Amino acid sequence: MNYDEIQSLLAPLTPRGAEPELRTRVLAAVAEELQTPQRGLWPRAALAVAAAIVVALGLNLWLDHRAEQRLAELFGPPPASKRATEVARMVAEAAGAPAGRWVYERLTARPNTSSDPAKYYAVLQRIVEETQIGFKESGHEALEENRPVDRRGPRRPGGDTSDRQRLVRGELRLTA
Amino acid sequence: MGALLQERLARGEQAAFAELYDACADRLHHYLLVRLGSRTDADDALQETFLRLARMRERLAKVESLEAYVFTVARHEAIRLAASRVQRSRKLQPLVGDELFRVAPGDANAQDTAAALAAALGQLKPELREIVELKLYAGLTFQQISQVTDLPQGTVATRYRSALAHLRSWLARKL
Repeated sequence: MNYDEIQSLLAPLTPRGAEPELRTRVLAAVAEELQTPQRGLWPRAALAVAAAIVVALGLNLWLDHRAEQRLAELFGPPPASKRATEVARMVAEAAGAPAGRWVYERLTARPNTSSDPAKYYAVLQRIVEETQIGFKESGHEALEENRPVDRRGPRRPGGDTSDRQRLVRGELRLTA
Repeated sequence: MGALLQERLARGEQAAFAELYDACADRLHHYLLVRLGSRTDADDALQETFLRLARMRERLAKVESLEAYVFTVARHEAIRLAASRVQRSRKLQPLVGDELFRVAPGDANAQDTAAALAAALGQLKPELREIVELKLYAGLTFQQISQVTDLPQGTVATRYRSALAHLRSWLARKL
């Protein structure tokens, strides 16, 4: 049996088609569908994308907030920055507790530029400049001459070994 | 099926859809029947095919081959329905001669041939059976079958020859 014989065997048999009742049913369904106004695909797609982005962002923010809450529950509030603590202590020693507290609060507030170290440093520098410490000499100066060292004697003379000293008294004034 | 019919379909003319149905519903239904193995499922798939065409009617004006496009939509509906049938754990029953072919009641020879052909088609692999169905009974060209099945034209031709070879050996034993 060759291919032509196969085809001649297959071809004459009339394929059985759809029943007549199916035509009525299908065309009625099509008529109903044709009554429905068509919406453009693109606005729906754009809306779907926009909605997905908004949901993703909202979910991301919520998850971030939730993660911070859980960490705070487990480990307590986030630790204070060591640097901020040191700077604030220095300022407090120099200019008093209120100034130190003010500096600490400024340094530990969440900065807008927390992700950029260079910008964060610039903020820090600005804070330090704003809390500029003025240095004014107020006391008298006493100049002491060095005692001559007898080099003929032992190499290590007893007492003071410094070459020259200036005793300065001053007061620290906080200017802003 | 010309460009004019496509334009009328795109405009949503009810009469154009009736013309399309009359032109290809029987071939579509036979194809769906061979794929799905059930008249009920083939009826549902045919209805879904035409509903989908009505929903996407604006695209119909631009398709190159309306026939190939319609069979492509029908194929996707058959795949979807077969997948849902798998989920519902329904088994595919083999088709018999009089379900696939119209045979005169008194014609015993034709009935035997129809039964043998139904059995022969049933034992083919699904991908070969599909090609035979689209070529012999749906009347599509190899190029159109290539568009419907998303296979290279060469593969379509090879599968068709392979299917005929299987049918030949089967029928030579049975007839």
